[in-house]
Amino acid sequence: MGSTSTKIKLRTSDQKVFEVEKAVAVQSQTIKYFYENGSPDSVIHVHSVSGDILSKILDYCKKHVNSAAGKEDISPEELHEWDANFVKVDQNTLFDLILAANFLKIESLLDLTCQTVANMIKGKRPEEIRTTFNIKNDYTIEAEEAVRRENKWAFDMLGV
Amino acid sequence: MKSEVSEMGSGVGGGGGGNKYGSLNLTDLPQDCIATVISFTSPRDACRLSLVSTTFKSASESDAVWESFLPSDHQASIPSSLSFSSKKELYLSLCENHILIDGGRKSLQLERMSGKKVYMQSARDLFIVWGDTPTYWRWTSIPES
Repeated sequence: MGSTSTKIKLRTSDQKVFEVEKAVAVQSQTIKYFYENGSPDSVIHVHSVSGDILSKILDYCKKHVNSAAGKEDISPEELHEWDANFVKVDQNTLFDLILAANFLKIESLLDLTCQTVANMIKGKRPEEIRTTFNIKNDYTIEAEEAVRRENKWAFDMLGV
Repeated sequence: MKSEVSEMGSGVGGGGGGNKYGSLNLTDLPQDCIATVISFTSPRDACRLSLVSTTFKSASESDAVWESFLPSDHQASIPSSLSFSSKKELYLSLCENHILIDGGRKSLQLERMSGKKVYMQSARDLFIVWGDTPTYWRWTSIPES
């Protein structure tokens, strides 16, 4: 990619400014919208994303753009493995990535990150999920019992 | 390809992002994100998740979640005369009861755990060897069927 390619400037919540190749930046539907509807030189403020998170997200977009354009010799399996490593992060970072992918409207990244959380949830009992994600049970005993009754079939054979 | 051209301030995170360690919880995510997570699990997981907390309950009962568990062609095959208050209710109802489709020649039901479609074919639509030879086969009507 030569120096002639169009760049888009992005400013994060912590006032970091990134100059990003257009093809990479427009993987985000939000950035694409602001770019196409604003003046080409203006800095787009991604006010709910920090510099650390945006930097990770741009790595993801760059990898996928380069792979799709054949600029990087990477097999679908290798890309899949790269994605799997990309989401090997702590819970906070993972949730930050979900928030950012949702705000920036990068569907494939939102799916990847949400699928990762789903894999941590599947087949687990409610108590285990509360422990894993540090979630407070805000039900009254009666309300909890009512929900359990309502969804009885899902708890059969689980021993809960 | 990517360069930082300026850096001002120090970590004045705005909005919901940023590395505020220990502060971001799964239940802090917008409900549609939680619903997206749940739609990657299974109908059974979704029902169990409703017991985790009230936030999870509303996300796990959302139409977005149950729409993803229903067969993609359900809108075309389900008679418009049937109406349900939610997609979850529709899903569970399709697991409990067969519905007649294709002008009553077939019936559709869902397998509860997986959401897979189970069809029942009407006997009249089957090709049965010598089926039209009364010596071998006879059509009888069973009122309960």
